[in-house]
Amino acid sequence: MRTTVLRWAPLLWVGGCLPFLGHGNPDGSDDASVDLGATGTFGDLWERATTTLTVIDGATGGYEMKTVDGAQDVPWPEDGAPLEVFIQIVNDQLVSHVWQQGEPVYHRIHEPLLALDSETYLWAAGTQGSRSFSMSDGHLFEVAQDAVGDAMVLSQITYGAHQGDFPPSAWPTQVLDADLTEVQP
Amino acid sequence: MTRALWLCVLLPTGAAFAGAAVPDFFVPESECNPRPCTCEDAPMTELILKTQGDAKSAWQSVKDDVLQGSGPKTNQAAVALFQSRFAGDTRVSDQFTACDEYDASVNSLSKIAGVSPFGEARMDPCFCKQFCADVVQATIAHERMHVPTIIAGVLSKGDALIGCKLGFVPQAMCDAIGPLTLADSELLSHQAGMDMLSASLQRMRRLPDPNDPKLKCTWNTLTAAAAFSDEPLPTTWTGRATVLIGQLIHSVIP
Repeated sequence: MRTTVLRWAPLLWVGGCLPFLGHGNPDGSDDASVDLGATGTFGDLWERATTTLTVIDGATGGYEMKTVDGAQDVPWPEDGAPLEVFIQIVNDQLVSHVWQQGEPVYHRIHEPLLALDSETYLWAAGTQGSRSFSMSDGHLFEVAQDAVGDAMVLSQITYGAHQGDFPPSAWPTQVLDADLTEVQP
Repeated sequence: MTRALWLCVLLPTGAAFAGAAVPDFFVPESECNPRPCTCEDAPMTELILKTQGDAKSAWQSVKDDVLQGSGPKTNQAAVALFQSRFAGDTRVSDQFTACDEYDASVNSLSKIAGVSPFGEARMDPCFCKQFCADVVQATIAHERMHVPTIIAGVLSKGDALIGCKLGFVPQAMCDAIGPLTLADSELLSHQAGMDMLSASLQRMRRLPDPNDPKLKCTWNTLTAAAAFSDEPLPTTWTGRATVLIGQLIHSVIP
């Protein structure tokens, strides 16, 4: 792990994503140091290093930005159990390696990406919401937005390159592959 | 995640989405052995394709409601809303219940297939007996699509879920994530099954007609209400062409 200066990649206007962030850190400063983990290339395995969320509640007019400490696993909706996730970008595909503790297999899910240029990909799988991935200074950055009703969540995620074995020793060795690259909503 | 791995297929009858474990009497794919599809299976295959399309439309309407912020707030409520908007077709259930071993206390149209945590499909033996191979394969494709699409759906909403866990995302949005993920998975799973059924019908159209091998397979559609269903199938080429045109007019040919 190394510490580097975090500079947010330029946000793309995607599917109604508000261009409110631009360059700089979530707290408005320009030079805060955040541990982003190791550097790498798109094809490496990446794990979350930081998450910054901006929540807009149209019902109340509320607006809140929070930088979430640490990696923050994605919780399963029903019970909040954390999902362990590694992502990589290979052959214009987002490959997500996902496991939940106690499961006998882990999942490797391929989703289509659209390459905008050599450093930026758009997620092309969803029927709503948007995600984009870009490389900057050897780190992977994701910008995403999702909206339901009057509420919108905008997020910026930085990833550090995974160091060590894969799959991790705690994971099962059996993997279930799923190719969603040809799936048409 | 385990619960999501045991999703059971919704037959086009509006049956309940239970998310329960697959019954012990279900058989693996290797023991299912459905008969190959022939021209005689085309009307039922076409009917199932249509009802799957109807089911998909019903799920789309559920999803639209969720996105508007006025939809169901739990998966169970989403399934209930879907069921209220999708009636299914009794001719499909009639074919299932015609199975010699059918026992209403054992066999359930709400559960005819599932996928194990290891990705192995398991089916109700009556389903294997009563429907041809392409219909069974389409059902397996539907089932197999559920797990990765639910996981991918959860990941795509992962940041909102993190915000929900930390308590600063509006509750209305947190409530919507489950139903939205389920609806998206149902849409993609139905489409996967429909793609296979469409391909099956295309293959069947190239088969010889059982009554006249000089003709290609044509059939009286079950999908266009009473327009053709009770009439004997014409024996002449022009008669068959008329049937085909009727199917085109009723948009039952994919």
